[in-house]
Amino acid sequence: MRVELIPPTALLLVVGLTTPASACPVCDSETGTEVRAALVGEDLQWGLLATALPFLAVGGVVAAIHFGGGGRSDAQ
Amino acid sequence: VNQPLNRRPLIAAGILLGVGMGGFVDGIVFHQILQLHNMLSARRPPTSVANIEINMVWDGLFHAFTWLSTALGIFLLFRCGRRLDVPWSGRTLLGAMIGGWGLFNLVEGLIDHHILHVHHVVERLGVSAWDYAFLGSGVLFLVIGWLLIRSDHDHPARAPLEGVTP
Repeated sequence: MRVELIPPTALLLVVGLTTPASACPVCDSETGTEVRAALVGEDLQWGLLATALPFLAVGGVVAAIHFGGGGRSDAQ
Repeated sequence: VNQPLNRRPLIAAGILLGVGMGGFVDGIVFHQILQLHNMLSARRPPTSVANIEINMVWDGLFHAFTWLSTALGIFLLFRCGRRLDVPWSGRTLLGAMIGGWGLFNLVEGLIDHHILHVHHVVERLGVSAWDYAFLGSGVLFLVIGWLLIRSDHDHPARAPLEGVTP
């Protein structure tokens, strides 16, 4: 590769690699803004319920076994 | 040593580890490698960059909860290792882990696939036989885990660890 072509090639690479990342939720871009709005808007309750509720339910079962009934105690 | 043995802390640790392992299988294999569904893919079909990114965030939060479950399981298991009244039984731990995986499949399947309908195992099919197979695997793993725990009768006496106060 000719030396004078290195800077524009590098620039193209940087732009090409960073453009998709600009869609991230904290990025200042059209897609980023859309993602951010959905995360704190209509999807918030569904997302929190869907991710947290199963783990809360399982946590309740584990706490009941650890601190209360369930399992078995043995004398040795 | 005539100390009453208590398996409940070991079972609790194993269940949390099983929930973590099961959650990671779901998240890594189904969400990421096979991309059969994402956390909110029934509400946000991954047909645009924005929807893919929204699902990616909720998938990340799901993995964060899975990581926390695993970390808490390791912590509880470590505490079991320091307690002389908790039998150090591989069979009980394995049974609890398999049971924990089953509990995760059953609870997550019921809540997310059948009650909230935020996603399904194979999203393009909606509620399908795969969702019931997922629930069935949960019941099966729970039964296997329970049988393993119940069949564990042999608890060797624990020797105090160096530096550990009984």
